[in-house]
Amino acid sequence: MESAIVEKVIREIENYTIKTNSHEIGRVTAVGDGVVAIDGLSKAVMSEVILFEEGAGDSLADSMKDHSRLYGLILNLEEDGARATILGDSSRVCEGMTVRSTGKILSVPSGDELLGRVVNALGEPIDGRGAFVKTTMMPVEREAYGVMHRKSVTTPLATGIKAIDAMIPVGRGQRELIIGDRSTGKTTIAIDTIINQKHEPAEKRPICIYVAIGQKESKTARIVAQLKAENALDYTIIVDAPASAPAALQFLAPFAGVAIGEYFMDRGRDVLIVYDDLSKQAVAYRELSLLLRRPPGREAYPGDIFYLHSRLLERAARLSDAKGGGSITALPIIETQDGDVSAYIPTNVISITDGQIFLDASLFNKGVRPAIDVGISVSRVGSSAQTKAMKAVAGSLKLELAQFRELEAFMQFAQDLDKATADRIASGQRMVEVLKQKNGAPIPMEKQVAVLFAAGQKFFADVSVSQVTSVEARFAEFLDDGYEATLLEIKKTGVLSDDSKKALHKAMEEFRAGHGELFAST
Amino acid sequence: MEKAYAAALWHTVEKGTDPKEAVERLCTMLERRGHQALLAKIGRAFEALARQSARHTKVELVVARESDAQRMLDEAGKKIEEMGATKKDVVTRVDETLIGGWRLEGRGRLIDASYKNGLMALYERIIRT
Repeated sequence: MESAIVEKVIREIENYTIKTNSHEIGRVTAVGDGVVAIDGLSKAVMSEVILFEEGAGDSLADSMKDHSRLYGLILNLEEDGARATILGDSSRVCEGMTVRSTGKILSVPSGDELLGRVVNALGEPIDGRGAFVKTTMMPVEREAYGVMHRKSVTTPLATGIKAIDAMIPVGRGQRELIIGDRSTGKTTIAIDTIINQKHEPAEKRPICIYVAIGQKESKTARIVAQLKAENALDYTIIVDAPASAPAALQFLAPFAGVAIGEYFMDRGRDVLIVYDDLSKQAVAYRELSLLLRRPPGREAYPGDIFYLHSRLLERAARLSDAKGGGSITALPIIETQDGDVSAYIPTNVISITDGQIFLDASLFNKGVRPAIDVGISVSRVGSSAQTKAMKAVAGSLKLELAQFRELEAFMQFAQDLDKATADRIASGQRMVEVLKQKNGAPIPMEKQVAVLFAAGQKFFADVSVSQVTSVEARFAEFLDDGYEATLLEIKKTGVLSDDSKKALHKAMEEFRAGHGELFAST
Repeated sequence: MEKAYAAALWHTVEKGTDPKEAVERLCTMLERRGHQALLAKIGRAFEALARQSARHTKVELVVARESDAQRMLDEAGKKIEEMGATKKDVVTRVDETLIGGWRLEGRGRLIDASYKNGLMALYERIIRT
């Protein structure tokens, strides 16, 4: 083993030719709050990586002891210099320090090696499982694919959440915003979607990227553990820019995530990327912009805050067959304050994305989970990506629920209601129960179809409202025993054929016959 | 404002006006405009300009040993010319940590032909692979 290493080192030494490096340099004239003012670097370009010359005056041994290099990123080009942000420990930078231009735009490593790993915003592994050996560098800032290289969204991306897959379907290549107050289940939806991808066949399974921006380390650790426990980490990459990371890294993390995703998309793979969350990225960018002395605008955000999010989300795409047919589906998350979707950042991101899933705190507190407000949630392109089977069972679901929400206020006058209204309320209540789902338990498409078909056939009409969720779960389990062929057919064809309908009717009758005690609420 | 005054003073001196006379004229003008309070700030801005200018014009050759200085100066001659300077403009400094070779710094460029740089690059390459 040792002799092999020695031989390798000897080979390296023999083949090594000393190069005279020539670089453009500048000098740090001011440093503070993670931002440096630099004199010089007249040929620097925006987003160029610079290197802080720390080892000047240190002996070779000292330089080798601490060989981790400190980089910066040019963010402002000025008349007599530049301003850059420090991508690391800013206490290592001092006034007068030499700064070296690298001539490179910030890039992050990407490749299959990253699967199952946790990396920081610079693509460096932070999970203690060693360095990457063979990766491809991908530019963090890259122009999004143009219209000629794209095709429309037609393939569904199953989230495993009944309410979403039925009423707000997401397609591969779509950008669907998850928006809501704090603690309303935004991250849960995103993580369940990642977990649900394990039901996809390996060749069609999207690579999942979870970008944690400004999150607590404990939360990210919990998510990693959850994904590992669910066997979902093998196809997932975590990009972590925690709350303790400098603002620059929090601002860069989503771009690093999408750059990693583009590697797979360019090779014809489907990618699902979750940005959790873009509100925190906007706050980090505001901090950085103010430190860079850019003029503040509304709510002190810089003028290009819209461009920050639009250029990020435009990189989500479904590529044409000529470009390999890969896709990036983006699930950005935005946290609202007191349900205010008309604030600056939420309206910006709503206008950029192809729809939004709005989570309502009052629904969440009532126990409706996922707490999706169907009335203002929408998917602008997803319906064309919905399977025929799902379309067939979910067609009138949204309307029915909307009508129920309208009538819900009259529930307290239940005794005075006419029969039609009372029936509609009863049906709506049961439908709400059917759509409830535990977190971390995504349901495959075929089972969703079966359950929603049953609900549409008034299967739960005789079940007491409080029992609906458990009856629905038991019915789903019952289908596994004896009706696998029907479920498999729905999964394979994506169609709810007459034969499948007949089989499901039979299953409902059998289940009802076997569990008569559950169907006696009337 | 102080930067503008400092820049004006710099250009005046650069054009050939005697520095002492230029400062006196500046003081008179500041008095006339009621800007005397800016004088200290103008002084600091002028100092920064001088430092900046020195950085842009100064060329420094760093060598590992005093005895290497002339040989290294000859070796780096072509690079010095590429920087738009002559050997006369070069200031030599000794830094033993370079081990050998030379390092030329100035006019916004850094050319590193030191052994330390080469060995560091080799070390990084080995540990990376």
